[in-house]
Amino acid sequence: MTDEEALAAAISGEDACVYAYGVIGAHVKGAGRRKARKALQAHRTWRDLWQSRLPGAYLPGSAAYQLPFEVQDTESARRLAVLIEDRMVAIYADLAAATQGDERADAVAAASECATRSVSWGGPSLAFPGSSSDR
Amino acid sequence: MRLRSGVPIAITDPRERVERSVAPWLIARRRFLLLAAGAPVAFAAACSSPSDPGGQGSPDDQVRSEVAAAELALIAQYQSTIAAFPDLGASLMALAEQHRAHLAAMGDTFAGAEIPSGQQTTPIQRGGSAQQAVAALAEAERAAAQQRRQACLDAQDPELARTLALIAASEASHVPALGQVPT
Repeated sequence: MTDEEALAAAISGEDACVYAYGVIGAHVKGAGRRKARKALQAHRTWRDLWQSRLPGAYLPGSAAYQLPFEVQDTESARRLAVLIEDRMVAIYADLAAATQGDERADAVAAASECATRSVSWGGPSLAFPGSSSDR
Repeated sequence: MRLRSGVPIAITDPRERVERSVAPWLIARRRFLLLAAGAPVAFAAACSSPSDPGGQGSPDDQVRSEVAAAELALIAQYQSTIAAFPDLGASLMALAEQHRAHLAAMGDTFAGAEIPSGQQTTPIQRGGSAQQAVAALAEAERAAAQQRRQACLDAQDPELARTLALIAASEASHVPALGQVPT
């Protein structure tokens, strides 16, 4: 995977997270909603940062996103948050492998944020996160 | 994202699904399976890829040794905490096991390494509470995640960098996991 491909994957992954957290936030209340709002902002910030480093990256737009399962209550919203955060860890590990220096440092920081948020939504802590599609 | 034949697929534009998103996920999955199963042989093979300068005493070997030593110290701290507060054992054992997996991922030579005596390396504060001991572990995990991030920057082999990025993320995630430990 080239650094541009890894960067493009991070941009579209973050954009998908922004979309997903809009849905998640609508199905959780109180502290959960605040957490979802903060997470949405964090993903948007990362998306914009990566996009500034790869101008012109293709973004499909929210209309193209389809969730892996229907989110209709707090529990399914929480499960979606755990899933997307874990998947972002894998995307960021790819980016860390494909880059060096500041970009790699940012990729590791972003991976750590995502793994932390996954656990904070009730996901399992893993020795090698980012493999949720195995389970 | 779409669920098909029981396999979750990445959030992605359907037009690009195969080209850009699905294939990397599938490839990544296989690699993680090897790591998660703690297969040191497979990992060693990955480490000796052409991009790795290889050989004894290479910069990447240095990175691996330092990370392995740090993982051993963390395991020792978990062990001494569990010895002092056996009630915490069930929760802490799982996290300590993850550090063993991190250790094994640094190479065959470290997989069976002896754990340093917890008494010497990480004394539990005499009279300290379980809460304090867990807070100390959380602090150690936070520092470890930072160290692993630096190690990742130092790594020359991209696969080593990937593994260290995942270990950094794992250790960062241990902080909220420790916050959920009932003390």
